[in-house]
Amino acid sequence: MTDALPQNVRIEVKSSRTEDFTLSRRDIKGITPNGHAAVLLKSRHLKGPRWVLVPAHVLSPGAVNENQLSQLTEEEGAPTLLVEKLNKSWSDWVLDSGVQDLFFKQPGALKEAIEWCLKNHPARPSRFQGSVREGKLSRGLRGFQSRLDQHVKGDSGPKQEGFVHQHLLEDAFRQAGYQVTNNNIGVPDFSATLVAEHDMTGILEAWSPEDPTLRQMREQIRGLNDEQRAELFEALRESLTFKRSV
Amino acid sequence: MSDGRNRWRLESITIRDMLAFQGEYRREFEPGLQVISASNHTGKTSITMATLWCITGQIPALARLNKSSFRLDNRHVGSNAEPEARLVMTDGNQSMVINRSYRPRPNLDEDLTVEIGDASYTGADAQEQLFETLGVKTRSIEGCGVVLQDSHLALITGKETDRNQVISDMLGLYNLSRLVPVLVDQSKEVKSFHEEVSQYLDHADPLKKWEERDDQLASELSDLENQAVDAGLTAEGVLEDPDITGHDMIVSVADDLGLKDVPERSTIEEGVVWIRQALGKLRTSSPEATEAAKVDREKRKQGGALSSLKDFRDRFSNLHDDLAVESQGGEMDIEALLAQVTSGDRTLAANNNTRGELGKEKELFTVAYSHLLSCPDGEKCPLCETAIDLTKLTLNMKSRIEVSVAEELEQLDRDDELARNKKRDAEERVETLRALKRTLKDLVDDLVEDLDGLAPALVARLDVGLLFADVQARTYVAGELETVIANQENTVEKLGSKLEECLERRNLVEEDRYQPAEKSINLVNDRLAPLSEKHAKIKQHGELRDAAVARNTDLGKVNKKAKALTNRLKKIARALAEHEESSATETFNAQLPRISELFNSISGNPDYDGLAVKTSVKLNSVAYKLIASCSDFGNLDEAVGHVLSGGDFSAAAMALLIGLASGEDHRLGFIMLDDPAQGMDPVLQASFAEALGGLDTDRQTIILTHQPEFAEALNKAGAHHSTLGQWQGGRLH
Repeated sequence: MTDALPQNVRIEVKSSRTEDFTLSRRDIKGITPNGHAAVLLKSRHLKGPRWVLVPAHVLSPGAVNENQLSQLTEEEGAPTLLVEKLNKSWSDWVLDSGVQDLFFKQPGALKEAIEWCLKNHPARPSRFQGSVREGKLSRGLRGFQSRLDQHVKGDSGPKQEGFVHQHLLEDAFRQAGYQVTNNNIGVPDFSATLVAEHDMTGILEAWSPEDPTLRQMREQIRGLNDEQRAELFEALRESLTFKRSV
Repeated sequence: MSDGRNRWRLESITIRDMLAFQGEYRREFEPGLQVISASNHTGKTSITMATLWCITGQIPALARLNKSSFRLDNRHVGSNAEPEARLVMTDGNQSMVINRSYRPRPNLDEDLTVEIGDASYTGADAQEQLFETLGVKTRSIEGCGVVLQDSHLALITGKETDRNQVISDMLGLYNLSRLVPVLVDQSKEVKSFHEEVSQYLDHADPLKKWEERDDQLASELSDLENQAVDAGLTAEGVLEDPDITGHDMIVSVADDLGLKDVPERSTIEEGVVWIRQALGKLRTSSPEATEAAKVDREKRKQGGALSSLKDFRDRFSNLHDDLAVESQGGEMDIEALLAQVTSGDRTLAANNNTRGELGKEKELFTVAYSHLLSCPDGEKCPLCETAIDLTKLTLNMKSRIEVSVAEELEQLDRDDELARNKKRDAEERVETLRALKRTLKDLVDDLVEDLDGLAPALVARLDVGLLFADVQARTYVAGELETVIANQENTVEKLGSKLEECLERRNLVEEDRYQPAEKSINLVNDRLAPLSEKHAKIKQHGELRDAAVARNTDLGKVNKKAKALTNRLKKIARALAEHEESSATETFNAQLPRISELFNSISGNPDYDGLAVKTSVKLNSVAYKLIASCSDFGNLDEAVGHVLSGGDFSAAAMALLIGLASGEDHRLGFIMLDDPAQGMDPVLQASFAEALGGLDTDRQTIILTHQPEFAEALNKAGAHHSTLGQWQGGRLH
């Protein structure tokens, strides 16, 4: 286990309506050596619902249950701080029935609906902790699942639920300061890279606003020394995180 | 001997109060072959067993001895018995003396001493030296040169397990042969535990109740949240941590009310108590409430004064009426009435004087009358000599006494009655008038106090004497009172209106500020406090559930270990059994030529010329099977095993026991056999005796037998022959 945020992670997402999961040789190969299987555990006995990131090197192909996966996360290499951040963001969304109301009211495909929701209506942070949060989360998750089953056509509920949770997880990575690259086909499901300060500088250099005021601001920023610029980027990052959490 | 040292042989054994021997018994042993013959129950087995016990300190685990009640002490001796045995041995160069005491509660330090040459040892050191010197394996109690009758019998007639146990002991595999069943039992126990735990984990589902309670608490929380929303709390507030929402609401209420110093980090209950106390103080100390209270107090005061005035008016009016009635009844001047009383008193006093004078006069007349009656003929006064008509005087005097004085006294009584009545009437009137005057004074005093500046002009006219005497004055006061009362009524009415206005202002503040605050506080208290309580329960439940999950996980791990341990124990047991079999085979292979030779020489059966021991592992323990062999045909195996005669089988068993007991792996230069020829016919006995006679002449061979023919045969084979003596009264003689 480690408290440092990993620079690059490759994620294969696994969610299930039962407590059993199946990992194929291809799944594991796709995230080996340094990737993780992101598994959504729902059992209350395992402090769920919660996401766990299981390092690829401890995984074996075949069927595996929640209990075994939970134990595997205690192995070396599980990014504790990252998982904590991901679960906070993800569970805030599940606990916010208001934002889910908006989600289900959106016409059209689920993909557009979830992206619209995440962009325009960030979930309200919930201050619940521990068992109360877990209990509410479990109930909220069941409620969301039930609403989703009624919302979608046929028996596609479980599959669509996995799709939504993957989007929520990707968004959670973004909130944790990562740039997410989605892989629509194959393994892993997505890759995430921690956006560092020098990347902010690159973004600044690539930024070419038409508005004269913004252009002037860009030049002013470019004129700052490294220390000043680092302070500004840190403030912007905090501001971004704060905005998303409010 | 592999190391070139001499072997030890027995010189003597001394037994006291032990087994068959009561008191002390000493037996010397000869070198070489010897036979000690004796009838049954004369102590042969006791000598054998005492020899074995001296060397090993162990009581053989034989079926007929292996009882909890079995003891080595002689039962006839009683509580004073001091059972002990002393074994003396020699290796030709030095002697060894083993002294061993027997007690129900053994203490090796006191029970055992061993002297080897000049060295002396006690306790565990002695036992260690003993085993080391003799080359005897620890706890191999039956491989010590002593062949018990029971071992022989066990081989011949015992169950397979008995035979296996005897041979294992002879081979010095004591520990292994006992460890394997223990391991097997342990393995079964662990397996049973594993199965029980598995069943519990699979079927009892120990976490299910926690899960059910979890759902129940979540459902109850949801119900409380819905009720809170129905009661007026916002959904956002309810879905927030109730402690935080509650605190925020209390802070908000406090802000609205202008209260400061809201306690931080307080529980909902503490916050509610604080804000309610603060609100209560605010309600009573606000300007509106203060003004209303002030006006109310003034209204009550003026209302009270008005009531007093009205009361006074009524009482004054009544008094006025009483005085009017009283004035019609006579004199109203108390002084005049008091003068009438005094006058009456004077009249009564004067009448009394008159009554006294009349009494004196009557007394004088009475005396004079008696004098006159004594002088009926008198014509003049005897004193003054005035002429008198005595008869006339006497008659006058009598009349005067009887009529005139009586009439005057009656008149005086009438005058008295009249005077008293007048006086009493005057006194009563005085009392009445005084009471009325006091009442009037009290009324005036009360009025003066109650008016307290309301009507100074009126107060100035309130003179009691004047009011008592003057009707007009009273009438004036009554009229003024009506005016004062009317003014007071007006004042009270104005205050009532003012009070209503104040109350209205206060109610407006109550409705606008305090009641919303009260509602918020009630929401916090009635809705958020239960939510907070439920949260606390859920947290507590979560902690307990996590502990239960941890216990369950631990139990699962233990169960997993139990399963692994079961398999490991089985493997160990199997490995030990195989090791035992391997060791046994190795020992047999080393001893087999000697055993076969002895068997051949004893049995003399032309069909067999050798003996083999087949070992196998059955149910994790080593089983041994004696097989006669023939060099022409090899091992005859099962077929011959069945046709071996009892005698041949006895011979085979004895050859095996002698071969193992006198093996090369120890430094015992003796072998002691207890009734070894049982089951053998005279021919076999003779062959056996001859074979024993043909053994290594350096080896001391001691045979104890109850068979005279066998003893005789041994004697013929060169054995020194002796007897145990006669048995009499529990002692050998």
